[in-house]
Amino acid sequence: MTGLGGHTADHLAAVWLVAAAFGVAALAALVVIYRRAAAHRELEDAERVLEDAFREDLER
Amino acid sequence: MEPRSQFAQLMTLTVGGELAPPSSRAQHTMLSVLAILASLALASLWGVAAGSASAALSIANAYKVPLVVLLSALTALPAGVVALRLTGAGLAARELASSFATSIFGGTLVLATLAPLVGIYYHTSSAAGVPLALGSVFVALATASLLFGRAVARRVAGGPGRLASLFAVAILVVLFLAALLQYVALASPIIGEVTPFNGGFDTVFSR
Repeated sequence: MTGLGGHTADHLAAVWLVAAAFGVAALAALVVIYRRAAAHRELEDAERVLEDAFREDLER
Repeated sequence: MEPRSQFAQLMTLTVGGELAPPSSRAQHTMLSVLAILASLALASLWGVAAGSASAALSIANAYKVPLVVLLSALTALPAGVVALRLTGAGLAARELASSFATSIFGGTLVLATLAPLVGIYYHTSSAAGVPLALGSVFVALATASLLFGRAVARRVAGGPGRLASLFAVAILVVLFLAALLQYVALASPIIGEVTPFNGGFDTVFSR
């Protein structure tokens, strides 16, 4: 029995499995990117607080 | 950032607004990733509704539909970025990806809002169930494409390479649709009935 493009069901199942593996890997990469960006954002917030405090000290 | 405020910021970006200052590159990255993850959850909701003819199909759709959306986006994005680079467009690849992510979010938001309607019609109408399910996908695709075009047009407004940026958008949308067609066929059945999309390109464009 043939399916998409004349390929067998086993072949198509294997293609779907490979595609799904890429999808899961992409999801994992997205989570890593999010965590790194969140850490960077926290650092930026901390730097901004320090800058504000330094500016207030200078103004006094 | 609180989850609620992140969602509000994501909605602001999706409708073409600007983030309140101070906004940073890290914040945009976080929101883009959040847009994709939220899109997957919303697509999953539609999948459950569209496959509600049987419990097995519904459960399978909960992961198949988000995967189809994610894989189509992943397949199309590199070509969009290459088109952007080759045409010397004034838009950064990061901005293109960010606009793409928020437009996918907008499209899947439409899908999820239509999911209850798809579900109820699927169970109560033999004539309108499948057309409504397919129609909701086309409405979502049109919405996402319009949001994408508008987001990019606003980012490059008045700057050089505006046409080139919109050309990259067109390339990305066309490749997304082409990839979607085949991933849907690969993941079929998604809707409990046979449609031309079950056979992919070969059946959609066969005479």
